[in-house]
Amino acid sequence: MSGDRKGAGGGSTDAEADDLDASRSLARDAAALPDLDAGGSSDRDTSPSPDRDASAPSAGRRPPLLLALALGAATTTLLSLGHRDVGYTRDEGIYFAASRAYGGWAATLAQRPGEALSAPVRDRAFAVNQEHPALMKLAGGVAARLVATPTVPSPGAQGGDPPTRGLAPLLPEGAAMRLPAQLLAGLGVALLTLAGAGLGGSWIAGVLAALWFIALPRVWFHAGLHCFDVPVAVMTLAVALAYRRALSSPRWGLALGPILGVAIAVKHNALFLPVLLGLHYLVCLGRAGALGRPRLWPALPFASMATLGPLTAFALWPWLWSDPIGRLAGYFAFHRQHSYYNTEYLGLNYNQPPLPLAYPFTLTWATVPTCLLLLAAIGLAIGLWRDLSPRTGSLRQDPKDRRWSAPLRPGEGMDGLLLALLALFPLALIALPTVPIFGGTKHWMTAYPFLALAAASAWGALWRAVTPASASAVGAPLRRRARVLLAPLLALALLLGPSIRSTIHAHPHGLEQYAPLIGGARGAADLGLLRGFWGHALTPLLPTMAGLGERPFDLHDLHELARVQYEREGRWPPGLRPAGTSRAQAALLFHERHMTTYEVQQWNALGTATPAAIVELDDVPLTSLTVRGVNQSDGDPPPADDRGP
Amino acid sequence: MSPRRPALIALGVVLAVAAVEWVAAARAYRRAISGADWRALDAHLAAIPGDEAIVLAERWLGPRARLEVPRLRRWSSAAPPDLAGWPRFHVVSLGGEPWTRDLRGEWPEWPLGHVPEASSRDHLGPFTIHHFSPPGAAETVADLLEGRLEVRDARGRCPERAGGFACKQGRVERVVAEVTFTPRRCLRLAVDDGDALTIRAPAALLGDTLRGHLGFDDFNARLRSDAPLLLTIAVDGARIAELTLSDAQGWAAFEAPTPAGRHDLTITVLPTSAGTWGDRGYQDRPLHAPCLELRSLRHPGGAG
Repeated sequence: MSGDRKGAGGGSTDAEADDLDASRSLARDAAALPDLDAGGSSDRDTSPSPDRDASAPSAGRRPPLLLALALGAATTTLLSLGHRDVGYTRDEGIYFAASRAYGGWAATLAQRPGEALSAPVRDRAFAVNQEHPALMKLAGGVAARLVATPTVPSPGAQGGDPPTRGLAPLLPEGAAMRLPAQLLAGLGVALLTLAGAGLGGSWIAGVLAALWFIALPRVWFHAGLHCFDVPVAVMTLAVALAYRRALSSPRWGLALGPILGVAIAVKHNALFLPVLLGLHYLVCLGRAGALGRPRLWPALPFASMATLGPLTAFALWPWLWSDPIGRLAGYFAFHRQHSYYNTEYLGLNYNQPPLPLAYPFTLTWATVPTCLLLLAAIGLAIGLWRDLSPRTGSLRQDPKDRRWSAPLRPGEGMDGLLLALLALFPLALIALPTVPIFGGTKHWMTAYPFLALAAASAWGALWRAVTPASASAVGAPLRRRARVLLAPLLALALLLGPSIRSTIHAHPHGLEQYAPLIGGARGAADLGLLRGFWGHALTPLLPTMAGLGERPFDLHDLHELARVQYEREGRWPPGLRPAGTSRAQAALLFHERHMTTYEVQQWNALGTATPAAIVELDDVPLTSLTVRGVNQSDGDPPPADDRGP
Repeated sequence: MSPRRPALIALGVVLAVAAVEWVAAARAYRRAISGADWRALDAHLAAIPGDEAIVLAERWLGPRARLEVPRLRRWSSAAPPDLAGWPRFHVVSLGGEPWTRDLRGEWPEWPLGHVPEASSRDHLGPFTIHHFSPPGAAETVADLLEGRLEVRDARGRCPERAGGFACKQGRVERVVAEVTFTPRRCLRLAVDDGDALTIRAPAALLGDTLRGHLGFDDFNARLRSDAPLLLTIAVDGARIAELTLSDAQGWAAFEAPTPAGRHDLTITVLPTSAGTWGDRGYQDRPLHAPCLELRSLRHPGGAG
């Protein structure tokens, strides 16, 4: 697409020209996803923007690859180091055990492929946690075999998993197993930097997109875990970016299927993508006037997703290799009949559907700074407006030479609609009254990369509109140019500050953090919003627990397999033996509204309602450690004149 | 309007909200209560007479508050039945407002009547201590289930054992139970289906009113059963109250007028179904156990 804007060298000082310039760029620039392999979308403006100038005047339209790589690497490094303080979540306990089984299978595959590929050996390994695809657990298991430091023998370990030692021991076993997800988080940040830079027309927009996503406390928390939520969000982004290119490139059309297959092999959220992309594609065809050509309906991108996608997912999940239909049916049945979780929302405990329709939207607002959501909403609105605006020039004609392998031309992709679909669908899905109650924001986190990109597109469009082209022109006075360069940087800091502060302050309890306008953790506690749900806010208590000596110990919501992981790494106090509440001499309690049941059981069993130690976030108790004989409850004196018969 | 203007407005609004969030973040992301604040609160509450109740406006503060302030470890603070029966009581609040969502339901006249106004307030660092002396408030004469009791089921007397009563058809215990996600100190009646349980308080000291609550323990059980229960209360053999209660009523309050002085009090409880329904039909676990608290109150100018 040729640029309507004046080139940098032709900058005018005429305010009217700037205004016209601004309105055009506002309509044109928003929500046009970039082509990552081509250094920017071919239908995009080629003129430099003020903040693009700020970053790399000579870089022109090339995506800031080095910046993306640096941010991605920094993300992975910080996650790998920082998440040593993040306790092991309930789900991770199970995935650790699965990863040990899958990693053992991978080791056998490397040494004795014939044996590993035999059905009994394969099934024995992959039967563990068969309700989720294997890819991330397999990657975690392999990572542990490569870089885990030696684990200690754990006599109580379920299944008697043997101690392991990686080939190049660098990280504790749990940290090693978390590494693949952290690498994917780094990839997500790099992709967002590139895509955001393309959308917003500057490296600052790229940074905005990347940090909009990763600097959210909950995203940061999930990004470092050996779980699937941020990995599937990253893979959803990868699928979307590949799909965008696949509409006009046969090469990407072929690649789309395997990329989708990898996404499905991470988590089932990706199964919705072909439907959403199909809907988007049909609207695009209709808008291009090509809907009446049936041969374009099953275009190459969709043929690839329909064939290579399932094949790739199948290849990456050895559990399905025997009895694929039966096991696939079992997989779907598990998720269709998912049990309802307890979740607290505005002071009420929900454990049966429906949740209020507003639930995912309110929780998103409560956990993401409002300024970021506003910018994303503006980006979505501008993108949709652009898509619905009357087409001009060549885009108005329907060329007869459309190919099955590349059905759309650049510029026909309706990127605004694509962003809106992918950003809003995950929230809308959770809002449906028939969907099982899940509760955590992680279940719609796949929306966040697209909200981040929408924010980047709004950023680009708004700055272009408000900045006179003449101000950044080469010939403009240096002071004026400097002011124009500095303003976006200051605005970026202003915009991202609350989020970054929130994340740093909450670490390692990002799952319990809330947005500033909610009042953080204290405000959420006052409002009766969910405090936590994964039995992980434990690590600050480990030194105190180590001083308790030999005691039967109630783990409460700490999963036994998560405890085993601490034990394997020598972090679990050896004297604390798991026991039921009635026999325990000390107990953990992870505070949630419905956990009051277990809290009072502990009071009754331990003879005290007073903890010995507490993990808190801004005065809000997350976890209590209660010990028999410590801080015994005082009885109430009887009323003065109740002297009995 | 210039096309630049909407962009300027949009950008301005976004950045203004960001600025507000910087300020909000500075307030939200820090501890509001220091160790010195807790020590000051401890000293302040220690001076309050022992027969006056002290409760927290924000229940979520409970664990730290009990750890730092021994006075708040009493059952009347940690698991109170409600705020009836206290001529003077005190509310410790962090946000400044005493009648939070947690506490409004503790006032006996809520939601039909108004909550009382504090007679005075003390400000102590981040805390506000609201002092209440509601006009016409009753005083507690006796907590009838904490005194001497005789318990029988259909198969005979239940001997007192380890702080509770061991019946042939179950167990009766003084415990703290979770009822509607709130700790309540009460008498938990874990008995078999359809068997009446009789609790007798001989020569119980009564005021002019008997006030009590009944609720069902354990959210898992409440989720899996709505079976009602029949509760009958008699004074010297004369029935003064007969109630059918279910867990939909939460921590159900009831009151009945009583003759003042010492009288025999008999409570009969008939749970229709003590078990719960699940995937495998009706099962005896988790137990849908009722929990009962009962006090005699005396209003100003009342008998007794």
